[in-house]
Amino acid sequence: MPAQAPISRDVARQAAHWLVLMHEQPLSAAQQQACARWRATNPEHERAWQRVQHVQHQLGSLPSAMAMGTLNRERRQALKTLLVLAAMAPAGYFSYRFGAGQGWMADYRTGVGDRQQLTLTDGSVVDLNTDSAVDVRFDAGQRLIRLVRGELLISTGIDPAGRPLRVASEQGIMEPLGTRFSVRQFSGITQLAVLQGRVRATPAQAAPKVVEAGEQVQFSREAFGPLRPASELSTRWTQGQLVAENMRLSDFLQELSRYRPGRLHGDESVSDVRISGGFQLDNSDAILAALPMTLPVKVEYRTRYWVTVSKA
Amino acid sequence: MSDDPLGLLYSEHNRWLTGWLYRRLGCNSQAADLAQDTFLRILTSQRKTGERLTLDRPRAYLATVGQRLVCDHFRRQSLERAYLDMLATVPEAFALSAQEQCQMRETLFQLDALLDRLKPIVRTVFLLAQLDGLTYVQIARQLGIGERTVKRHMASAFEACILSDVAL
Repeated sequence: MPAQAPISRDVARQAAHWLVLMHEQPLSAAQQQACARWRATNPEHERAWQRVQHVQHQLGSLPSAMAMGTLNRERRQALKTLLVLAAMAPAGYFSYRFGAGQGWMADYRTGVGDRQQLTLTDGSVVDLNTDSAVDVRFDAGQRLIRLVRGELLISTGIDPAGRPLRVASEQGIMEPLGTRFSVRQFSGITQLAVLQGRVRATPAQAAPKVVEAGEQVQFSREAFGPLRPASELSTRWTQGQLVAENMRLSDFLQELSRYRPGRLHGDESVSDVRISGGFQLDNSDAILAALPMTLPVKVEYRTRYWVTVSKA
Repeated sequence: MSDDPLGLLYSEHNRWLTGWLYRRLGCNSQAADLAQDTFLRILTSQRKTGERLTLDRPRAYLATVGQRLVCDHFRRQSLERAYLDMLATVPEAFALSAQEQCQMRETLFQLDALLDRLKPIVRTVFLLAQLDGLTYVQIARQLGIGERTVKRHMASAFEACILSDVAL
């Protein structure tokens, strides 16, 4: 896979222009169109855009007081001196770069709120959920799909060469026996849900286990959690839907926050509120706007990227 | 000539690099660790670019890479301290599992590396907007600067996020 070219200064400046505008106030319809056009003009534009979305997503995932207290700390004088020394080194030596980021250089990526369906050369169909990344490596010995982050649903194709298909997560390897299943990468945990057929899951440091259709399991590098029933409902994201059945509102908001940049959370006053229904993920703002109509809650927008849900 | 320039670099200069790092860190085992990391970084970056190592001044090169790792090391240390201080005062952090805390710390380290290149005022403006959700007017008032300046700082923070080579 070719490494992606660095983003040019000009593109970064244009992206920043849109982002600054957008944070100032909601864009007008005409501005929204112009911004969407700009993003679509060139893949480099979209990459610049997604990079900021990713940073915002990361920032939004942290408790704000914690993030402010640590990231905005006074950086020590000693550190500054060191940085000055580093800056005095011959400029050419700085072409040295850090390793690939999680997913940033992956073969296929989706941004926050996006979905993508891939058809691989063996006919396997892979759906990628929001903020996800996979590497695909087919060689003489195997068909390997590495889930770098996020979530995928795969319906496996039949390989004429008979090579085994394997899906690797951070915690282990899953090998289907002709099947349809989904894999979601949590931090430190992989969740496997088998919808058809069977899958053999092998954690990095534990014995394999065969998971049957209708079963779902989480595993770490060392061990499996308990088997739970897997539901087709959990794959509705492939159709852009989030289905909740008597779900805690805070869990619901956490799920929803995967699909939009920035910070979305319910405060403690709504911890006992529950929600049911099917929701269209493509417009998470509309979902939020509809919440107060059916639940005793209010939704406060401090900015487009900062949303709090609390008891009405 | 050896056809493994990195191996040659290692055997000729590892001891020197470890000593050089020791003078900055004041700890033998840390110096040895960072020396290994330095060679590892060079190896990975070479693999990625596919370039062969040709150096006129190998020690200057090693020192540059090593210096960057020393900075990372100190920055991580100072972040770690701030993190532990915050953990003691932020009640919502206690509700997190050990795993979530670990994830949170990793995210903090990455963001910290990203924000480290920003001027302090730019960083403050950016974080007030992103974390506290303040408007430009509110930020301007809080920091006693003009609204146009706030926007300029926001723009340069966004640009830096896009252009940074920090892995996210």
